[in-house]
Amino acid sequence: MNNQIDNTILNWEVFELGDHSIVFSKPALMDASIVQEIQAFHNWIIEKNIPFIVDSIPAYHTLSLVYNILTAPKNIKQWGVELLHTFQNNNALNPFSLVEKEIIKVPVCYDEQFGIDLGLIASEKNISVETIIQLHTTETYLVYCLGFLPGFAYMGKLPEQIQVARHENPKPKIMEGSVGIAGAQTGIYPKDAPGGWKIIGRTPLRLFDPVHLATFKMGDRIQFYAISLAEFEAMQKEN
Amino acid sequence: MSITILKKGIADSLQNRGHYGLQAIGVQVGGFMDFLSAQLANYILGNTLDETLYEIHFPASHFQFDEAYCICITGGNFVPIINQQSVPMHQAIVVQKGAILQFLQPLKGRIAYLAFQPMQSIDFSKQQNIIPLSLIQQIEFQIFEKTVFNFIPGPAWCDLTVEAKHALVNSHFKTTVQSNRMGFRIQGPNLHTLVKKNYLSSAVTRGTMQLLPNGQIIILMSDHQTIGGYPNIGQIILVDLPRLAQTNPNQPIQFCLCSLQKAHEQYLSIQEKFAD
Repeated sequence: MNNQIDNTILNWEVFELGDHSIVFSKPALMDASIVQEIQAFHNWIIEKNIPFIVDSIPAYHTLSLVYNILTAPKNIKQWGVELLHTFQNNNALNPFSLVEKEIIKVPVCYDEQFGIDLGLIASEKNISVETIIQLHTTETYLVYCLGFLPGFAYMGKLPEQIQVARHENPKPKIMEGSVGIAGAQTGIYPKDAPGGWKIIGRTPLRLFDPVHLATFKMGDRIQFYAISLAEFEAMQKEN
Repeated sequence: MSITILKKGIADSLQNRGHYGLQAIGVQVGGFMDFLSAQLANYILGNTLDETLYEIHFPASHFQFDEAYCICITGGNFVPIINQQSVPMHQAIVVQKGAILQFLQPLKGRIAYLAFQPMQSIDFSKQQNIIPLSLIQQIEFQIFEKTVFNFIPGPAWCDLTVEAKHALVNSHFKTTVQSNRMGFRIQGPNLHTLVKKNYLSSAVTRGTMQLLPNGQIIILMSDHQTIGGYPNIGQIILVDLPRLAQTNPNQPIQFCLCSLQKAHEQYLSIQEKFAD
């Protein structure tokens, strides 16, 4: 088998990450079809239940597998390339279908006591806070992946007018429910945590609990809507 | 069977190898920080290597054993005493019902491990009566003596400037107080990428060296997040992570490039001894 060619089959690249993981990578784009292919590959691997693979982590354009060094094949990259081939062949027979999911509506209170970075973003992008809120709530977002914290959904794409960089230095504590933006992404902190995203509001929804696990799933479609501080407090009491 | 915490330490916790399999929904793995010392303690007691044990920081908890136990202490040397008598590390010790274990001072390292098993459930046939001294020495050497941290270049390695690559392998860095189970912030020369670009988040692992926007490095540890968007410039090899876990703040450290083959050889050279 020719490695040079096989490493880049159909826009896939296979490479080792450190000494105990291997990455399958598509072009670095926020793209719904790429996410669906990553998700299909992830599900396929989970079903195969490969003994030396201890974890499979899908993200925007990558699927990373964590392996046990003691029991994994010596040439893990070669193994990965062959696995990808098998998946591709299998997938050609059973192509995954693009399912349009129902849009999940998520309430967000954009009050300045929660949206602590709204002022900063407004002056950086030279737009009003109202415009930021309007732009954030107009778009429908796709959940590209989960990660960083239990139940944290990475969503996109954010309208270009409100795309901003992360904070230079991550903040030591972002409050649970905080809705943040970073680059073309938006997301919600499911619990208090350190973080670098710029915060524009807060949702009263719970995003993760040990029984139901994550509220959002990879591939879900989400739209935010603005609520007042009073509505926020009322909804928070219900939870 | 139980162990009572008479006085709670600052950051003690029960740990095992960690919980894999839920990173796809963002659940961290966790687990031992210094897995070599943890495995050694379990190995000496005859436990499975990944059995739950206490991970202890200084000032440590005071432990009281509510029945007779067999215990083993490894990792950082905090001068363990039982009923005010000093006790050895790296040995299976029998403690009587009511005995109190304390730790006097942090002589060496940052984390100690306490493996335990009630006397009544000890399988003496599995206990390692003769622990090869070479194994203890090899682990001690690995976690305390070496000064260089080996890394394998990460996906963003090629985005670093030539100066940054040079600085990473030739400069002196040091650990900082901003170090915990999630990650260790490292202080050193500011490293830069050729162009500022936004990376799409992808999986990180323990050992991932992320380059923060301020040019400084953070090395991810056991409680690391599952995916991250900062440039991944390198991956500290697994076998060197216990040493980082044992490194106190403001200690000098250096980085060295390493091949995947060497990383695997070094990891297996210890793991295979456990399997003997």
